[in-house]
Amino acid sequence: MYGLVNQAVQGMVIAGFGEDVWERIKCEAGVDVEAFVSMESYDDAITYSLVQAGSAVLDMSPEAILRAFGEYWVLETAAEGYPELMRAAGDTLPEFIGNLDQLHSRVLMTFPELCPPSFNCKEVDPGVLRVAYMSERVGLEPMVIGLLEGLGKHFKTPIEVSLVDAATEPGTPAEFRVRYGIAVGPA
Amino acid sequence: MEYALTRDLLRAAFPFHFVLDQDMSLVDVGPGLQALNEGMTPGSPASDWFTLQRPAIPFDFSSLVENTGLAFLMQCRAVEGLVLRGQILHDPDQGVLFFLGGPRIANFTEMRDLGLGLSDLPPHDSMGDMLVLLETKQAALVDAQNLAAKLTMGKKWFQALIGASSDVVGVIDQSGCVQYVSPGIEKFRGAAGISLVGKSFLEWIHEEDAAALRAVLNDESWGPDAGHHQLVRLIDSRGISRTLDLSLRNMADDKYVGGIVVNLSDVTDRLELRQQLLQVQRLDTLGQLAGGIAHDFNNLLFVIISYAALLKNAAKPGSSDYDDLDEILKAANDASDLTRQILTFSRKQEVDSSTLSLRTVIDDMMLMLGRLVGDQYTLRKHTEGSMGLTSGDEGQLRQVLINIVLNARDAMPDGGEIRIELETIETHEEKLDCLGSPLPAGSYVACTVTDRGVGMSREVLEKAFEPFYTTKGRGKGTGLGLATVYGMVAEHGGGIFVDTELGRGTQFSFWLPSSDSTPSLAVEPSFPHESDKETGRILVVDDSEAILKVVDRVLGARGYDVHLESRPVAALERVRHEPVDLMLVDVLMPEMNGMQLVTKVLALNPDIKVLMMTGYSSTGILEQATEAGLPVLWKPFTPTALIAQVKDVLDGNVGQAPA
Repeated sequence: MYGLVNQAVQGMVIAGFGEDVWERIKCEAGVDVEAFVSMESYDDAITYSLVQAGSAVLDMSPEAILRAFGEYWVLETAAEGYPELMRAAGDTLPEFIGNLDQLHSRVLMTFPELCPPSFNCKEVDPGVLRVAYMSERVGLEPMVIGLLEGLGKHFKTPIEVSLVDAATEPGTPAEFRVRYGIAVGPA
Repeated sequence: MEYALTRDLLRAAFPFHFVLDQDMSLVDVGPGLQALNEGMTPGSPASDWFTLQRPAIPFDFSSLVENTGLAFLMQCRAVEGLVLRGQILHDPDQGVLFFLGGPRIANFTEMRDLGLGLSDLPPHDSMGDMLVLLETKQAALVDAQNLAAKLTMGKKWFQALIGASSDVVGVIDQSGCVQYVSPGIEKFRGAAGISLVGKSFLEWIHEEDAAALRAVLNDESWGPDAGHHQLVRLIDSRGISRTLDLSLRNMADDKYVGGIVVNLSDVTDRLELRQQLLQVQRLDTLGQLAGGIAHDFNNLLFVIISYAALLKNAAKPGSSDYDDLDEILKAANDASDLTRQILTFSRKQEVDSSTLSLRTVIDDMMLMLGRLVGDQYTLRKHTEGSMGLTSGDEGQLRQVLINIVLNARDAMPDGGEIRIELETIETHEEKLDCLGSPLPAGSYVACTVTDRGVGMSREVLEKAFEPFYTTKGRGKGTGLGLATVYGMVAEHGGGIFVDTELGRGTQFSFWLPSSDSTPSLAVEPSFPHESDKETGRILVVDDSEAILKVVDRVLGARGYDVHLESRPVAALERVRHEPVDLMLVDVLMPEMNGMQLVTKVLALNPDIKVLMMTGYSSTGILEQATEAGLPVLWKPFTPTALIAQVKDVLDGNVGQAPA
């Protein structure tokens, strides 16, 4: 993963628990990196180790950490670090989710080693979306729930996310059901 | 096989396109453009909506046809700020021109201002890619700037931390070559300290220490994380020898350090202080020993002086017995002065200030000084120009002169001439002495001792008056001489001036404030006549039988009723049962000291007069006596002084605080 992701993990831990805890997590994870560079590609194992160590140090399940990370990613990393990109990608929750694939395809120009997931969004009922998610990485469904919940907060719309089907292996889709209120635009 | 895009496909692929006929009217407009301005409908003149920015050609059909290969920039007048970038294609069959392109946008802010989003751009439009690239690169630039700032802050923090340390930290390799050294090195190497990098650390320190260090570095068993500790000596940039506490830690395998960490701590002052403390302890012991000896010696002298005075009093003036006894008394008085000097040195003698003639003092000392310096030296004095009247302690001033003359001697190991000169100097403005102490304008007696010896360097002169500083080598000098001299002269309100040059000699002058008073003459008061008989019951308490006997003899001869006790407890018993007018008590005694005895006696009978005797003032007992207002008689005293003091106390002329 790119350093941007690890930076986000670091930012989330420091914001919530402080520098000391972050150093302990790094130490526990055996990660000897003083500072992650956003556009540098790092081994996925580093990110997984950090999540695992974070789970141990913070006494939280990996699922809870991934979910918190998903929300942090949208609200802090993306919205704070790339606000214009977020705005350009859509003014409403369905529009934004619908444009995610196009957004990721353009981001690939910048991060050529990126393996972004694919999102397909369909409004099955008024205020109800069926979101199909497909990734080469398995087990990240809790993070997707956090991402969608973060988007709900970003667009100031009440949201309820449930996992309908989890991915069984890399490249197979997971399905989420998203109930959302009336979109009122980005914060 | 020929293909043609249908209108719908064209609109989907190029949402910002438009089509012109030969009249330059709009034939069709893409949905993207129409969404921005609904008035942009077919049939309206293109010039109402667009201004050709580039290329610089007329905006007419034929000109556009002739330049179809160029890139076109069209300013869209319907939407403020919107410029379309694309190309012109000519369809001769239909007689129309196609403009195929999209908005030229520099960043996402501009896109938002135009009312557009990423989804308004067709997926094949690389403009969207470029905008994402710019946005992420901008974020990456901020990221890099943050990292650089963090790095700079870390570096500054480290530099400030290590710069504030009094220690020096460095890294060397196995050969002793310096890879890094902290700024503290400048203390030892001057501003060029950092230039030590790349050079051998071992060459910088004392050869013997370097050899020990080299042995450690070359020891193959001295592996990763091993430590080493030793003292090293070096000469700093000012030429001063320093001793440093050196610690090594082998971190050659550490991927960040990659060398041997050296920590240097300057312990020169600490070691000197330790030496000084030992010296002080030795001198203190010596002082106590000297004081103790002086006490016993004073008792003996008192006995000698008293008996000699009694005999002299009985002898016929002019007879050989009289003259012989006079010589004995002079010798005993000289010995008394010597004892006084010992006590002065050990700081256990009260300062006795009186007006004196420094010329007389020098004249008196010439014989003794000559013997002190030895036959290799010629002492010359030139004291005719001044009487040298000053107020001071003769014993201390003698010691000052002796010290300076001995220094002059030591500066000329092969012998030579030492000149002692005396003059009176008038200054009309304040003068600063060699240590910068101010001497107010006025009249001074200046005594100058000159030698033609080795002289002193500036560095030596700067330290010459510091206690324990000596150039005479271990065991040859205490380093106290000039420090004591300076202290004594300063106590007299004077100052010292030094003129010296390496290889040319030294001139030491000590200045003392002049006195207008006449010096007190050391005349032995006449022995009281037998006819002047006194009355009174006196109890003498001293653990020395000799003292008791002589006091008995002196006071008894004066008519006093004298009783003797060598033990304080017995004296106390006597006071309980017998009347006593005056008690003469030694300060230092076994069983019970003089002050304890007096306290008990006065508690029994507060009317008893008390006179204390001592030859040694180092104990707190004497301070207690002084605080209690009890008069003190200093040993060795003459019979005359004893009789006079006893009479004064009995007559109430000398104060005694109520018990």
